[in-house]
Amino acid sequence: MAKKVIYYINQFFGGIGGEEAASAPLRIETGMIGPAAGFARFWGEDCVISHTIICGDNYYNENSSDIKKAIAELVQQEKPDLFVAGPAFNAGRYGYACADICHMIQDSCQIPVITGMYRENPGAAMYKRDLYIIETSNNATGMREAVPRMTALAKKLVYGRPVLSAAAEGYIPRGFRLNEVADEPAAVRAVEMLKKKLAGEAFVTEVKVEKYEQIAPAPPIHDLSHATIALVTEAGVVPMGNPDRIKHANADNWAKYSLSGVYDLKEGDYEGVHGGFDASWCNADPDRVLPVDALRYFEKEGYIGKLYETYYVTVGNGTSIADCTRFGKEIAGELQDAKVDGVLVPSS
Amino acid sequence: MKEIERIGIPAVCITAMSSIAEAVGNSRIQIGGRIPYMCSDVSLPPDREAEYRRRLIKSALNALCTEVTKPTIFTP
Repeated sequence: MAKKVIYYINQFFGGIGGEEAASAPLRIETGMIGPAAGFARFWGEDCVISHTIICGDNYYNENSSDIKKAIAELVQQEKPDLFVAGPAFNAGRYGYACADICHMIQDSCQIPVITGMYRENPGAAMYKRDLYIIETSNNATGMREAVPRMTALAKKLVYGRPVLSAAAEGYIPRGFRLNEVADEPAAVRAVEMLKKKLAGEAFVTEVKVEKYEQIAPAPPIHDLSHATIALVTEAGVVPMGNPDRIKHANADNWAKYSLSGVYDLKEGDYEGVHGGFDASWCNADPDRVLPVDALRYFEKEGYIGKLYETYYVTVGNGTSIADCTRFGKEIAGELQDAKVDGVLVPSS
Repeated sequence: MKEIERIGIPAVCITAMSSIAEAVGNSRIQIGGRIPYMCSDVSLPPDREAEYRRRLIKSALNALCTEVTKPTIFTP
């Protein structure tokens, strides 16, 4: 019996228009439109796209709850074997929509879901641990490679066949670690790798270490006694109650709080919400992580001009590089507008 | 931190994990206490702990005033 698929795409791939049509409202069409047709073709004979859902990227972002509700109702009514969205490549709003909808369908309807997007798409940053997201190039010229990979993995999910590693199947690593027995002990493999490296030969690393961008150091402060110094931290020191609900891990927001009139952080007024270290010392005296008392001391002594009246906080525990970069840019913008001269960044 | 430096505001990372800060490429790194209390030394009695913190923060403030060309570690 043919497998039934419901497919989600945005206004561009649905042929409605480009950015100017990003506010196109939700449309549920029968049959296959755009990439859905390519997906069905790669699948082969026993696949039927019953419905293609088209929605403008802005419209989705502004009405996501209602749209998810409508899509869930359709899925519950039609009972497809699979839900597919995208691929979104590097389109951020689209990628977020694809991943957000797939995640909801996976959770609420318990059917296999699959999507595809560029590794750095915010949708991938948010949902790669929860979903199979086929890794694509960063623009639609990668459609030819993306769709067959999506179809191949989707078939495995629908027919219950074993899913291999991220590298083998082409999805963005989900953080699963699967143990396998190697032919040789680690020490032997490590020495072989080192020998190749020393000889300048190619080798394949077993653990990929992220390379980080190097930037030029900012120039030093020349007159500290007139400088405004700000505190920015990823160590999660927040007012008691965590008013902005910063998560203990995989934080997706940052917050700022006033230090006006605050000279010493007291137990009970602040708490540490970073899930990656024991916050009990921080909770007993939050200055141990956010050194307000010391900075106020130096302000009084005239060693610095002043402590900036706002501090910035997030939790850097598994928070994605993409998110941290975004937070950094946003916070840096505020510091620049406030003419802050230097920043101390307590980091756990 | 790098985004702050990118726009020209000097920043000092205060951390017990200086090797990570260096690998990531932070320009000015102040070695702190321990991971859960990087601006303190909780083995000290309270008044000496406060003094330790001031010494640490003074070193970090001085780091903000120091010219660097690559990731540089500062100790109190």
